[in-house]
Amino acid sequence: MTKMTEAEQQAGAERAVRFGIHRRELRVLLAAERAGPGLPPYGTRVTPDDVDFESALTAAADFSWFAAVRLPDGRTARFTVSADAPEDEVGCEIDGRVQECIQAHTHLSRGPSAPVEAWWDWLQRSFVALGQHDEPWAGDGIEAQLERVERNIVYADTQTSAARRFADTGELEVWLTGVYAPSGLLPRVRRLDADAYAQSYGRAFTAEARAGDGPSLMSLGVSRQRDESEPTTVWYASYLDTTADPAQWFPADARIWQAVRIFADGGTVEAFDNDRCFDSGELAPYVRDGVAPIDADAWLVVEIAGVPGAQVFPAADVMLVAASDRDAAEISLEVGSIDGVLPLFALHDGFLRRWGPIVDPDAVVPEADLDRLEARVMQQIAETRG
Amino acid sequence: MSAATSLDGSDTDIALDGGGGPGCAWTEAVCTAAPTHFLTLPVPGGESSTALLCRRHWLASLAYRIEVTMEVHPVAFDDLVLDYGEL
Ligand SMILES: [Zn+2]
Repeated sequence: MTKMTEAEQQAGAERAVRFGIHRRELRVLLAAERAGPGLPPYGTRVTPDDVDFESALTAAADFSWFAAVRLPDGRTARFTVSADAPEDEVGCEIDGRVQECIQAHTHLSRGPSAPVEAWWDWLQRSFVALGQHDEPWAGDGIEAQLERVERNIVYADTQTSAARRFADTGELEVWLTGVYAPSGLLPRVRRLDADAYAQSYGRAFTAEARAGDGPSLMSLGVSRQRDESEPTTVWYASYLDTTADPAQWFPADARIWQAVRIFADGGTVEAFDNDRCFDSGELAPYVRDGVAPIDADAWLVVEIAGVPGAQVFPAADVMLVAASDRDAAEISLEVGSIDGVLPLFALHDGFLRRWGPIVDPDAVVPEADLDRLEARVMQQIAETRG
Repeated sequence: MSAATSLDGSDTDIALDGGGGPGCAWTEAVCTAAPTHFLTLPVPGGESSTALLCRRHWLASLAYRIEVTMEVHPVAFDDLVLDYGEL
């Protein structure tokens, strides 16, 4: 048997302390889920019953892991203890492979260590199985599309992501192209040469210029209805200032700041509303050709073929919501601040956790449950009236 | 069931602009149940629109407005839902 160094002994002692703390944390978390108020994501196949605390007591003599989770696919996850990890954070290995904790909605990675509740949430979200539908109206085929028209059913898909999750403009473009693919509309993502732009237009960021000229720097709303031949343009008193702190790009109370919504038919744009965009022609000299990295300083330019105006925003703190609706006859891109948007997503998640069985088309809900829920909703309505 | 939401917190669960079918007006998933309840909702411009729903989705629609919409927008329930009940 090899002799442990003093440093190794110290790390072992530190792990022993953390082993006990994290074990308790997870027990409290699971107890809250069993008894309420903690509610798991609706439809998850990872439950508190799948967690095994006992084997770590015998198998983890070095306190390197404190609980095992039997996953629905047969693999085993272990929550690991490291003396090097930030305090209050643990790791997770699946069949011995180190995992990265991915946040909901932004899809940003927290890296290999995170609080135990973040890991538990990640595991539960990773194994949500809702009914697979094989009705005649499901799918992308022509027959399915006709079936949907007949039955007045529409296909919709919404994807969310932090802009900075993508390593470069090419990755972001691939993601958007995937969401919009059924519409036949093509998005293009490029990076603004923010320094060159700031040098050319820097003079415009004076009080005089803001009041007067420099329309190319002004934010626009460009829209066209189906029955119109020419777009209508409105001007906003906000300027593209790439020298400003990206965090100041969004007003503090704005969840959504920019958006483009497009109605299309067979790949042809029929109507659009591109709000808080910038003139593509004026921007052109400052837009980098080809794929460019998305780093903390990047300003991105998103255009959709056939629609005037470019969405321009700093990549740093931005959440993107890309949607395809009405059988791809309507697509949209919403741009907001991550901090402004996440609380709204949390409200929505909470609703789905509480109301999951009611909105899940595959769940059978007894009338008695509906009676109870109706009584609760009527009471909630009465309470809103004070 | 869709986990989607809109950044502005607007409701996405009821189609006000038609749908037009004889079934339940819930749009987050296919519902072929016969409507038994109604919701009368305001439409920009002062008009109103009535959606017909099955009981399940009627309850979910009311609850979404209380638990999500009203948490996001400072609006009174009676301004959000003009009328509601059984058919
Ligand atoms: Zn229904």
